[in-house]
Amino acid sequence: MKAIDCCREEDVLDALTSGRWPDRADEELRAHVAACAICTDVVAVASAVLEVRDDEPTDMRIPSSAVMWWRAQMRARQEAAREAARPINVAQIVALVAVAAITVAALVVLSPWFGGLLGGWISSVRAAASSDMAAIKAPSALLVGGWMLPALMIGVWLVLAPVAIYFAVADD
Amino acid sequence: MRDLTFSDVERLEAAEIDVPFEMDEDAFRAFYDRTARPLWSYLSRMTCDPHLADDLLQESFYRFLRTRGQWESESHRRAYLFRIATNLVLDGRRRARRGLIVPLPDSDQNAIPAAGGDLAEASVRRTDLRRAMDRLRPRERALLWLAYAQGHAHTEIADTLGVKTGSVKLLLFRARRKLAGMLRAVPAPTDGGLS
Repeated sequence: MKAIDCCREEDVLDALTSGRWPDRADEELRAHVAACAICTDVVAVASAVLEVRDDEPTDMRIPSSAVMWWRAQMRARQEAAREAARPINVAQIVALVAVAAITVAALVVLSPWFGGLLGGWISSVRAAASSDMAAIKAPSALLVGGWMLPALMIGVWLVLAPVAIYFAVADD
Repeated sequence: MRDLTFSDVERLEAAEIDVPFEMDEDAFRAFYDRTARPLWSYLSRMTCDPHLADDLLQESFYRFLRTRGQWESESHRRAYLFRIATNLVLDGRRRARRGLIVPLPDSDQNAIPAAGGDLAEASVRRTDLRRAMDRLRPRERALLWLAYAQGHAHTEIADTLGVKTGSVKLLLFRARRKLAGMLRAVPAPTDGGLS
């Protein structure tokens, strides 16, 4: 089985990182490296990697720890504020939908003109529908002329209101 | 991290929002001072893009701070930070492959143009070295960098890259042999090689 490591790798790396390689390294270690294919590769690769590393101008680019800490704090606060605002936004949307639904229901009940308008629109939809839509026609007639629509709106409101209150007061 | 406007900063500083970082400021700053430079070097080599490395450095430390974890040792904590960074790099590469990000070209800011004598020769050689490293696969590059530039132990490399400790030796051997083969085409250094 082909060897994938050598027991002298650590010695070679130590000589490289301490700057002793090649001039101040042991003669015996140099002789070993010359004869060992693995250590030859270690020297070639590690010296190249170290050369690239030492050439990186990192000091100019890296922000100080104080700046990094401050930025992280600010970002975390931003995210916390966004998270805290999310239920309020949801509650506002739900409330808006509920108000719109109640307004439409009130208009249907209180304004014959609006009821007629809505009835006309539903009639045109019914006319466009095929004959097998009969099951839908009856409820829509009830919706326009009867008590069903306000009752439905109140029902929707009763369902949505607790949800809205929950989102508004629940802990994140 | 996106830049904050002045009004954002005032509003956020005034806000009584608890920011629960596991680490306190002193501990973070000490850890940052020890790890930021090697992490930036690692990210720069992994991405071949110093500007992207700047962004990923900040993102890595931020995600590290938001993590609620218990670390057995300093090396374990460092490996965790490097693992976050590695995942960010690999995610970025996956997104780039899907066309969501157009990667910036390697600016290679360290190249010294038109210098004379040894300086120009050294510059050309370093550029060749970088190009050879950039031709490696990300995991190979990460392995070699962590092992030789950062001096991480095999267990720490395994933690960082999410591989078994026993596999590190073999993966390192293959990556090393591959890069060594590429480097044989690069002119040997005058004072750091085998001769």
